[in-house]
Amino acid sequence: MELEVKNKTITLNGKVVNNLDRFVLDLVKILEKYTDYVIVSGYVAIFFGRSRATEDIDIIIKKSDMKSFLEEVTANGYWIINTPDIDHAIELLDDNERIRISKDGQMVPNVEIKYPEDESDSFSLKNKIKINFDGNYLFFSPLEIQIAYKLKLGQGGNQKDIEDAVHLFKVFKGKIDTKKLKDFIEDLSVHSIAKKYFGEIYDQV
Amino acid sequence: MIKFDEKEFRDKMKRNFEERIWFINRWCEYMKENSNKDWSSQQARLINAQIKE
Repeated sequence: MELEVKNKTITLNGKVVNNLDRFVLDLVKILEKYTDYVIVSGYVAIFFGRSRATEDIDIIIKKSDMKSFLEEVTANGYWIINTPDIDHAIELLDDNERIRISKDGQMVPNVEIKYPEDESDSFSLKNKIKINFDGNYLFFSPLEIQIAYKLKLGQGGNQKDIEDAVHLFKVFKGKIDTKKLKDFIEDLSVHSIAKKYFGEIYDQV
Repeated sequence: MIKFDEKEFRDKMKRNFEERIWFINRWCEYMKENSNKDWSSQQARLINAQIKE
């Protein structure tokens, strides 16, 4: 695996772009014309090789006037699953609801778009990292918070999230900021589950 | 009718999860030992079978 991590950029060349990657790339190409975005949760682990697909890609966007985006996206082969009415979709976002967008006539995969709901969402948006791959790019949440947050979700009972956390930790072992990861683990109170799966970071002097 | 043992079932679930974690660790080692093209083409076959263009 050839992977370069430098400051807030990760470069991964030679990856075969699959249909899920293509779906995400095509949609964010429109989205980024209108607002800042960051991809969080399962797709981050999938992008970096987790051997599973997903029905949705979670995207946090900066609060903006989303009318033009929704007009362009619906005029270009996509539909808003929640509502056929663009103004209603904007109301949903403003009410801190999420909206789902998929290709016309399809339900999956879809992107679930929302404004930041809490401090961790705002942190991810503000501190997003750029993923470069063969002339393409996407913005992801910092891996340290992703791993800790996935543990938090896993602590709630979802084994898939623990698996995603283990996958990301293993892929980026030695390349992520261990201190930052430990801090997020403390912030999210997932110390005991982290010790179970990433005990080695607590053994380091 | 079948006899269903709750404890046996929980143990089975636990073992399944542990085995998946083992596989993830092994898969990550494989990814590190091989080129991006190698692991990602395997992943693409899996994903593209579920998500059509």
